[in-house]
Amino acid sequence: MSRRIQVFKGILWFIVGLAAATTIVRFTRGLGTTTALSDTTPWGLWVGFDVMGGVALAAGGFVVAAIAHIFQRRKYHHAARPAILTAMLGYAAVAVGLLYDLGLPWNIWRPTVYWNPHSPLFEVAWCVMLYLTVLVLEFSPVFFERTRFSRLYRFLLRLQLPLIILGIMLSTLHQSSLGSLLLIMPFRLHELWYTSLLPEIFFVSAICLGLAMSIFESSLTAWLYERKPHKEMLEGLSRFAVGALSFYLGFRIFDLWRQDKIAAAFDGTREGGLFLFEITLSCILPLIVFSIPALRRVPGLLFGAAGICVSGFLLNRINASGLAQIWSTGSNYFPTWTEFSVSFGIVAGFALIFFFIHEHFPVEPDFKDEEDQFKKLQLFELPHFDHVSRVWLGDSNFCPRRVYSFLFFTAMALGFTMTPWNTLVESSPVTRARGGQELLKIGYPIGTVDFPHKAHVDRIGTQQCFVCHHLHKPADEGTPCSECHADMYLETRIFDHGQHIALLATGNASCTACHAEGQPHMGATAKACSECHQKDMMTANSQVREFTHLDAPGLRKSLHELCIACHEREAKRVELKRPDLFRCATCHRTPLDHREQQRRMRASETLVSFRQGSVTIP
Amino acid sequence: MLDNLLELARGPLLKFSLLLMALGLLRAVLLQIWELGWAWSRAGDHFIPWSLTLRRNLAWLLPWRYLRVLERRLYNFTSFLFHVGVILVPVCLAGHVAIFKESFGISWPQLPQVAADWLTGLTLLAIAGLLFGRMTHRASREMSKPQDWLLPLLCAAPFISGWLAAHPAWCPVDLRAIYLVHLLSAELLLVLVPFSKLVHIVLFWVSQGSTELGWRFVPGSGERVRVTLGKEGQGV
Repeated sequence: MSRRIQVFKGILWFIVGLAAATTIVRFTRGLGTTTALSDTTPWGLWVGFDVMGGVALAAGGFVVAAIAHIFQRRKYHHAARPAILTAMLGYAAVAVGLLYDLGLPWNIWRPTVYWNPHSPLFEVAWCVMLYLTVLVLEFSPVFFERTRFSRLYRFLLRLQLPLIILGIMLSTLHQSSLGSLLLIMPFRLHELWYTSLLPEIFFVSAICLGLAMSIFESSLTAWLYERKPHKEMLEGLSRFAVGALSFYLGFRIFDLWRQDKIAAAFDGTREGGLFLFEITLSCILPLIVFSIPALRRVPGLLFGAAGICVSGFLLNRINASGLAQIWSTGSNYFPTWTEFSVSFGIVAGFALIFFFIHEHFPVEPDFKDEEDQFKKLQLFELPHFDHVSRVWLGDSNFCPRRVYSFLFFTAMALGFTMTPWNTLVESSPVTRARGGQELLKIGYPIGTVDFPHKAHVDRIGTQQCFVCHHLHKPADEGTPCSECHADMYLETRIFDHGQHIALLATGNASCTACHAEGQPHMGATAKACSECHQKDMMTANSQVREFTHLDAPGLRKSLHELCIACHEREAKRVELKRPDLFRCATCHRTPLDHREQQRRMRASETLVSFRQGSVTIP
Repeated sequence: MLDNLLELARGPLLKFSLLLMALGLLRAVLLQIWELGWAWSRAGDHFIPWSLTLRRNLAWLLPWRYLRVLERRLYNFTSFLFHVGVILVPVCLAGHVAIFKESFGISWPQLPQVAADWLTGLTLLAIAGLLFGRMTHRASREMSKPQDWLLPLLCAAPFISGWLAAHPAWCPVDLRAIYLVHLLSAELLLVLVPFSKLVHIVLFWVSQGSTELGWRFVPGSGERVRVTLGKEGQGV
């Protein structure tokens, strides 16, 4: 054990102590007390860094395992075990991090029972669960290598190859699915990150990050334990990284060029700058070091470049899952110190487990032999019996367990002191997602609009079907909405001028409260509503559009809005080859067509009802 | 300036020192149990003297136990009195109980002000007596480390300043300054508790057991020691 690792572990214990305090506060006082998250920005540092970043950081497991065992490159066998260990601990850290971030963490088991095959997150949850199991099995021979369970050890060794293949499959699935997750937020995510190729970009970047993380992790352990790094292996890995990084860079540029978005990176906006910064960190700087042999042979430079590369790709995950959404949603989110402490605390805790396994199990087979020569360099150690002088040497108050526990508990006290224990944030009301309503559309052919049938039945009464489905017009299956909602074509003026005058002041003084002086007093020259009604107005995001006019759209228009925006966008997608998607007739067929459709639909429904024996003919 | 310092000492510093004391004491207990377990696993005799430990702990809580010790009877009894004061006054003082009730909503019996005043005086006298006893007794003077002299003095500081704060008529300087001294010295004391001899607040209860455990060598080892020393058949 060298001095470096002791100092490093001391720092890690301090960070874990801070996180221990904030953990208790987070699970007793809730997310409102410990985070700056809001309904507009529900994904913060924890999702970006711990979940998205954590999964990507652990990609080294499958990348290096593939290089070493599938492509049979013998010299990378050294790197395989540490990489698999990093991956195993990384995925465990993701699971722990997710518990912090879930509002109802005790519901984390739900995807195992309640399946939602439409959700990318469902796939991610299953892949992560399965892959964590695979990784534990993949790494378990290391635990049994130097024990008397030799039959178990041999059995586990025989399982290695199928497990590695399974691991690569699962990683391919969920690394990309994390990208698919972001496909549903085209209005939130900035255009430089949003692309239909997000899954592919996530997968390729996971490979790059996996390689960089392997280089970083094995250089770091070599430096901390004062061992010689495996230079040849690191160089080989950096050669692989050159290939992966240049492919990724090319892919990103191609994708932007394909969508005509390259100019957006140079338009001087914050997102543009952030994008260039991310690309410089993740690709350009590491590529320079990795591709020039004279540079990559210097261990310090290689270590630094790998570290920069890792932080660049972490930034990519943080950008995609949060940072590049902040300005478009108008949120003012900045992580609180508790969020930072939990994020770093989880990493520090798992780093400590990593070092523990590294010191007690043959993760790197030649590791144990070199250990003894550093005994004299230790900063602090347990008192030991000196056989020459026949006395116990060393101060028992200054041995590892006492130093580390001192740092841990001091940090914990400090953490508790700094957390805002007393600020309890009221939980905001949860509104039901729109998809939760029973809509007539479900199970019906194209041609019907979003229509909450159940809500109408509840309101009108179950015995009153004829109010809408009347029998006076045989060809007419349903009454048009406008029969009742006579105002559905009308836009509604929602601004009450008289009330504003009454509220602001009496007389003419109230005019200037909204209208600038010296200008004609009209809507266009008045203050924006949001200048006064900051709290009342919902922030524009993917669901809510920016409020620009005072006329609320009529029912027909708003129902249309639900469909048309998507239809127009899809029609523009060349690869779909359906340019007529946005035309009215695509949905609103000719009356005959429509009636025919309805007839068929009704016929099949009657058939079903007959079989169930529940149909009554009036 | 004084108000800002007072605000700091009343808020974050007080919170931190109380927390650090609690967590530090927890650490001390955990470490003690860990190291005792380490010693126990290597001991020849795995007997754990539960009842003996309990009986001794209870016995040393009684005042006459101290009078029955033959040597330095007065010193021992003064030490007992000092402990009564140093626990009762800060814990049961009406003002302190009120603060706790305000912050945590829990309360317990309070000392009347007169009793608190008398106990404070008694504690200060006991501190002086203990220091005097330590100074005059040769063996204990030579065994003493710096913290043995400094900790009693530090204990006296919050008592003196606390008494002055409770009797503003007698206070020679600005009351806020006295209050600040009271808070800061008490907080320093709290922070030092887990990292100095004061850790006996919790380890006292364990130490009776660990002393017993520590003396249990391999069965028959006493005889072997006598043989080594050439004193077969005699007491060691």
